[in-house]
Amino acid sequence: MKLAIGFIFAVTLLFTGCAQKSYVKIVDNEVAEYVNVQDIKERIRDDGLLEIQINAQNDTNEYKLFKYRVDWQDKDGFLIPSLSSKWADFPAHKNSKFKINIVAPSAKATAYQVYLSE
Amino acid sequence: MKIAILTVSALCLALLSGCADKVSKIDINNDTGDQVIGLDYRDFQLAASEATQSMLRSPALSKPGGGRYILAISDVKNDTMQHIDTDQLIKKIRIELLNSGKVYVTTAIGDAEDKMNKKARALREDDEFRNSSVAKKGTLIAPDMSLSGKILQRNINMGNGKQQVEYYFMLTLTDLNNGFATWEGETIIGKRASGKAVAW
Repeated sequence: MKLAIGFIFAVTLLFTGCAQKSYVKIVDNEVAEYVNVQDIKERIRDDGLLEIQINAQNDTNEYKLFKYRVDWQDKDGFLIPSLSSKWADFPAHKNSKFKINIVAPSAKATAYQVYLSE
Repeated sequence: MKIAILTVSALCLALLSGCADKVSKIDINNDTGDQVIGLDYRDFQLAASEATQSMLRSPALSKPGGGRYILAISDVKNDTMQHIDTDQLIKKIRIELLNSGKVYVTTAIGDAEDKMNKKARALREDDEFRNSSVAKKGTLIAPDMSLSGKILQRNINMGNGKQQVEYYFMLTLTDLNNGFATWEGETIIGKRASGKAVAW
């Protein structure tokens, strides 16, 4: 019995170790100065697609245009090719909150990495 | 004498190298090159990305009970002054939607038609082919939905020696069972340049 529990624990650890981490990363210092990421929401929709929303704020007194892209991975950590992996422009109006809403390209997507850049 | 020949040869080589046009490859993953007044691959990529995100976000492609819809590609008109193939837009959308697991795109009819569907069936009459290996009657699946649209261009003279060119990417998804437009999308791309720039 103890052996079985130990085995399950080891397998759980193994899977936890393999799991891909999801995050939002600002890869440009200038963007980091005006984009303040406040919250990341995610949900699995009825159709099985992962949907994420980044809630952020432009703290400056200027309108800014920055770029973002998303890498999506399946449960095994393999990249899922998608148009959202290409840089896309996004507006941040002065002293305003903004939301970037993105739907995963497939129900296989279980993790994501969002990159923000100038 | 030898020195003179060598000097002339070197000069000629230098001259020829100078005249050669330098070709550089575009890094399509991080293209920081100047915008062009016409449509380039970045514009198609943007329009396709916005359209597919909007389609995936809407319930139009979610089949009740699961499974995939069969999507036919209908007319996508090029109503610009440029000689472009609308597949530059539609192919990107087709790939993204196919990978999403929500649709199969039929090549049996429509703009994406593959004539081999019919030619392969015509082999039923050909004794040279084993009959059991030929596609059976009634095996093609009719589409549930259709994707149509157009790309529109408007040129506006700004009066100060400059011009504004507006491009509209308009797409419609139609439910073929009732004719309803279940999704519609529009992406606008605007460019300003000297009036001398040619947008075709």
